[in-house]
Amino acid sequence: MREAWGRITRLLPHDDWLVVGWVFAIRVLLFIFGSKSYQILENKRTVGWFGWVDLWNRWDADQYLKLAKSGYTSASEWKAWLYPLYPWCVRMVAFLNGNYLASALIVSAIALLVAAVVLRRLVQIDFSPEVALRSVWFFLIFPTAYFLHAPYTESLFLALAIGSVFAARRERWWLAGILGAFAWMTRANGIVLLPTLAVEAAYQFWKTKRWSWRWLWIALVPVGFGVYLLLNWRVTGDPFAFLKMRGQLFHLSFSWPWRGMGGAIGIMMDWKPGQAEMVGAQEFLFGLLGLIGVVASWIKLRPIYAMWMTGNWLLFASVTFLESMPRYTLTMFPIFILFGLAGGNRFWRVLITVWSLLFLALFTSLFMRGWWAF
Amino acid sequence: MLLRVIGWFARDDWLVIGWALGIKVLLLALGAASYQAFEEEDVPFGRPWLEIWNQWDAVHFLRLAEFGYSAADKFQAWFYPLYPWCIRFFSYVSGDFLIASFVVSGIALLFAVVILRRVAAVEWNATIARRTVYFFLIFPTAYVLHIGYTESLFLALAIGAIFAARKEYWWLAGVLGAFSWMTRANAIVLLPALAVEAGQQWFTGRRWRWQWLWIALVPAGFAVYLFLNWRISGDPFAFLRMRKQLFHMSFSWPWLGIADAFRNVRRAPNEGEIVGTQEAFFTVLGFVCAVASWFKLRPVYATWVTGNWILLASVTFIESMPRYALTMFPIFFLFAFVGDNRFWNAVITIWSLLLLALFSGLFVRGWWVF
Repeated sequence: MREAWGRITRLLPHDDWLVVGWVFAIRVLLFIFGSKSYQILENKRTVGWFGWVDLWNRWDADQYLKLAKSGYTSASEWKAWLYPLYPWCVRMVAFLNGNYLASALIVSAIALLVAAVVLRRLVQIDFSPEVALRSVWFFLIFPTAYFLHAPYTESLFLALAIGSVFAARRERWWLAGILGAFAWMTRANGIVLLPTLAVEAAYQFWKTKRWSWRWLWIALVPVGFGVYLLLNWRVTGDPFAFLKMRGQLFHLSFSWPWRGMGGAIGIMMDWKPGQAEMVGAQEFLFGLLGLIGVVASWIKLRPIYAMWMTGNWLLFASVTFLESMPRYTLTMFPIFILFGLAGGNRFWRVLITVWSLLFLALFTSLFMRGWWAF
Repeated sequence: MLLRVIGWFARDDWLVIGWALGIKVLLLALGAASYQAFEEEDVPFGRPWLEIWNQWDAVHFLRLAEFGYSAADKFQAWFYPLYPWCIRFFSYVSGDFLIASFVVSGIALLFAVVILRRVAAVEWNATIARRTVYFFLIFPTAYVLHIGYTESLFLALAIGAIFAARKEYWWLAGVLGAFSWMTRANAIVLLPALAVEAGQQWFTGRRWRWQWLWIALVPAGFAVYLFLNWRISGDPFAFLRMRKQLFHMSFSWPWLGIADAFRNVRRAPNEGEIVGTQEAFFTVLGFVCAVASWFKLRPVYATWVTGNWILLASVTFIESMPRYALTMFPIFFLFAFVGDNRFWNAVITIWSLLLLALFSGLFVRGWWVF
């Protein structure tokens, strides 16, 4: 028995096990917290033994579960707006257990474990084990980190995108291309992997002055998008239907970043207090945090990370109306490396921790009640 | 000049001062954000950020500071006087009672964290000391340390009294202990706690010291309270009668109150959670820590935790245990030991801060949270 246990613990380094422990602990505490806050704020009990699980089925989660259950259809208002890999994974796991919500939580859970472990290893390539652990810590407690546990795409996308970047750093370009393609099959901002991986290839060329044909694996990344275009064409007859739908569903289109940021300030001033806080102040603050992270990343981090930050921020902020910026910031993972570096100072470590967890609690409480929280 | 000011405190003292101030700002921001999001009411930056924290006992303390004690008041002389008197004193400077209450709590908290850090540094090392203060500042009910409540002043005085005793400044321990008992009822526990410390010093030194008699000064604070009760209601022990009238509670065996808390879990969902689950959980936590403190800590701390726990749990109806647990400060030494393990450090941090946010959000909305 002891030997078997020893063999299991030797599968991963000690710090990876710590990260795995953190993921489990945060999941358990967040699930308990979600259920408690719902009971207190709504003065309602959750129904049955697994009623607390239903609380996580909100907003996009509901759409993903529908897609997993019934597939894409032109009759749906959303048509093929949502990317397919996550609902397909949920469907696959649901073949085994028959419960779509539980399957979605399992997919998110496994993906998060992979994302957290790979992030730690990725950071440790350039920095100390301490910075690597701190980066994962700040990632797991970020104010919108509840999406990593919910039936949302964030954890799967991050596992794939961080995996792709890690593979590129390890010069396994075929793997970077494949994971990149899957990442783009999960979320739209998989597109940013194209310039990001290209920048890493260029950086390696600049360092070694040697051309590598393996870099061409980067061209595999758009295959994921190809699947999405095909899906749009199959469902609506137009491969670019998603562009039209963005305007219809969310009333937003491409614009200069300052327009979206300015709009958020306007909302802060003019809208009703609740919306002014969530749609105005928090959207603006996280937009600003992302911008500061972008600038800092060009100074402090390797170009591949700075490129990922910049590309994502431009993609999210270059719209007429900022939406879900706090959630999208979670996918700009090099921000956690910056937090990890800042956390070398005890004062900032505590402040970032307190800020993150206080707002994680607030946003989770709102989300549990079915209120819009990004 | 700046260097001279910096030189007043050790580097780690400045760190904990920074933490206290930083967490204060974040809590005030969270309070405003949470109030706006849930209540759909605007909370503009400035005084309104403080006004939303003026709830429950804070209202009474401000009224006492402004108008003094009165026989016509339902609470008469129920509340101990030092905190409202301090607010009144500072209001002469600020001209605003609410701001004065935040200033008093703010200054007291800075003293409390610096002294707590130094106590832990004397007993163990700098790392344990920092971690102790960290877990103290993020405890689920730590929001009361920043607002118009007595906790921060009481803790500054009580920890100060124990630190003075540890450093063998017994006159100071007596004076701070007396002020402490002028702030909250559970300062009574300083009597056995300081006596135990004197006992331990006698045990290790085998030498009687007349300075220990300064402990007898501690009840002077309580005498002020008795005098106040007598002046306001004509009966120095009126507060005992009032406890029954106001809160429907009286002394009892601890298991009766605990059993009642467990029964309260079955109330309506939100009451069941706050008055039932959370009260019961923090009572059990306090008990576990009281037991652990006898194994892990110096007897003075174990006596403080145990005495407080017995005092707070020995009632027919356990009320505000999560808030009272905050004053059982040696709990944070124990947390700091456990926090040496990164996994448990993360677990305690997450548990503390998630609940701190939840309780703070409820408190600013005027809900009863301890």
